[in-house]
Amino acid sequence: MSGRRRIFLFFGLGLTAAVPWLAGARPARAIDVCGNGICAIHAVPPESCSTCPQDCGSCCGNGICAAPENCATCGTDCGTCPAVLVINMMPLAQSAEAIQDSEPNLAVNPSNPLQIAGTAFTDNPTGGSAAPIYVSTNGGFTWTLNNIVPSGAGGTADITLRFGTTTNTLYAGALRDDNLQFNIFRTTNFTSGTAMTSLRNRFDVDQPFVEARTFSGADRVYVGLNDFAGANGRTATIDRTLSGTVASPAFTTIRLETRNTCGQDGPQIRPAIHSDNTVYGVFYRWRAPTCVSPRTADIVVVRDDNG
Amino acid sequence: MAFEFFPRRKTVWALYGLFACLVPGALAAAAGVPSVESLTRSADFIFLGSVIQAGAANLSIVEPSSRTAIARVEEVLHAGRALDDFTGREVTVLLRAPLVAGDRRVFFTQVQFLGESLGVREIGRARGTATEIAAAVRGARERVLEQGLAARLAAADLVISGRVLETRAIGGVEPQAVSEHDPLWREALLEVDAVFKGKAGERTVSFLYPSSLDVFWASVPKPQVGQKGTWLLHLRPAEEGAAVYAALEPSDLLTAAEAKAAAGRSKP
Repeated sequence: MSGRRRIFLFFGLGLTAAVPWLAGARPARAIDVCGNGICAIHAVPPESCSTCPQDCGSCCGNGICAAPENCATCGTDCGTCPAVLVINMMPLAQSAEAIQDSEPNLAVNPSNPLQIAGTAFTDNPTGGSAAPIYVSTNGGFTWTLNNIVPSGAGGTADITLRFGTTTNTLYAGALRDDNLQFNIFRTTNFTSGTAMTSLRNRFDVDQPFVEARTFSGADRVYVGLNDFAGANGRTATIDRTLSGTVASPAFTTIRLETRNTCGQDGPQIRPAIHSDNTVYGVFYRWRAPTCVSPRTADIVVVRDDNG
Repeated sequence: MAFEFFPRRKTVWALYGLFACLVPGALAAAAGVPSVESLTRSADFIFLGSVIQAGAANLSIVEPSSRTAIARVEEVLHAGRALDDFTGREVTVLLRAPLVAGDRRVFFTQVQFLGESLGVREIGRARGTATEIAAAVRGARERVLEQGLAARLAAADLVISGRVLETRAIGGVEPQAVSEHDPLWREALLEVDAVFKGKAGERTVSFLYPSSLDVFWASVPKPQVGQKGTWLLHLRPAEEGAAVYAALEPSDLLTAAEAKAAAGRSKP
């Protein structure tokens, strides 16, 4: 325990003993108000450096490294951050979790890099109808599971995430757990418990991979996906909207593959958006002569100079 | 007359009792108060607890308001799947209507947040004392589990108990993965103790199981030599020849309690 905290402790006890009305006769509210200059450690709820730093002083420097302090925010208590810091993203409240959290994805909010969203094949631990995303608001030092992805069965199949660059809006491309329906979801507050809104959905699609970037206040959202509705195995596809932030965005389906394939392209179709409005896509084209594993494949990069 | 009068009084009292039982439920339904049964089916975390602090939260992601409270969990009445045990711990409740410190009740909730603590969203409130509602929840949970087991038994083609004698590659050839999601089928040979549904013509039954640890299949039980248990098996078409039995779902190996219940209700 630090000197500062000890000082407050003794100060509080001594004052209570010497001036009984402070502890009893005087209304509790009078000494409970944060900002009145008294660190009311015996109040209900008690004030502390974490709940009322105005009265109790900052926790940083008390010699105790306690959440939300970490090496980045309080080196005095928590020490210098190592070059590589390994964080267990599974929250403390679910530390017994042991399922297979495969295929992780991370999105950092470009307008607030302390905000990070993550996904994996992580289930809502109670089942339920919504799947979780991982949420951090302190640069990844601590994480919370937030069950906001409508999924029908508490988990998802493939899922990826991206923020708009200046809108704080988070987009997700996901396959629902109950029927593998592809959805593009959106939330304007990823820490809220409100379910994400579905902007578009359809079936027979694999591996949605979402990218987003803000142009003139509007989010352009590109979702690479393997769309089995593509004729003659031309399945490499991007779904695109130029106005992801409006209430009901209009989406266009763009086929990237222009040649016939061995029934389908490889499952990974990845878009990338340059700030100058150029958009790229990369995918595997599965082609003759060897249509079974190990396959013959081209790596194809496509570009659109006008978004 | 007295002999006749007494049955009439009994009838009157019985009618009164029926009235007393039905009217509150009817009034509650009319007033939009959900039943314990419906709340129990909708909630994935139900607990008996007390409000420790109103207008507060013990999750940093939750902004405290009049619709939040910290409650201590006295007894978990239902927690789905793999949630940690929160008995005796404090959780944040997102309330449907404000409560005050000291309020003790059964909370019907769905899990919203898991961080430094648990954050749950209240989905409804039942009428009655906490003790009464808790008892009703226990009864409702038993019915839900019984109905769920009955549905699983009905969906199975063969329900048998026995000991695993051997696990082996099908036809002596280990499966090769084409994609990461391939099930990698293997075969288990079971020495049959009892048949609860379907017909097993011999003392042993073989069935397929996915040996893959890929996320699609990892939770399906993997039989171990010497393992005893009750299996729900499903007929699936073979690539060649007759259909074969297979274990396909995580719940196809019954728990001990389920096996006991299944033995009591299933017929060969």
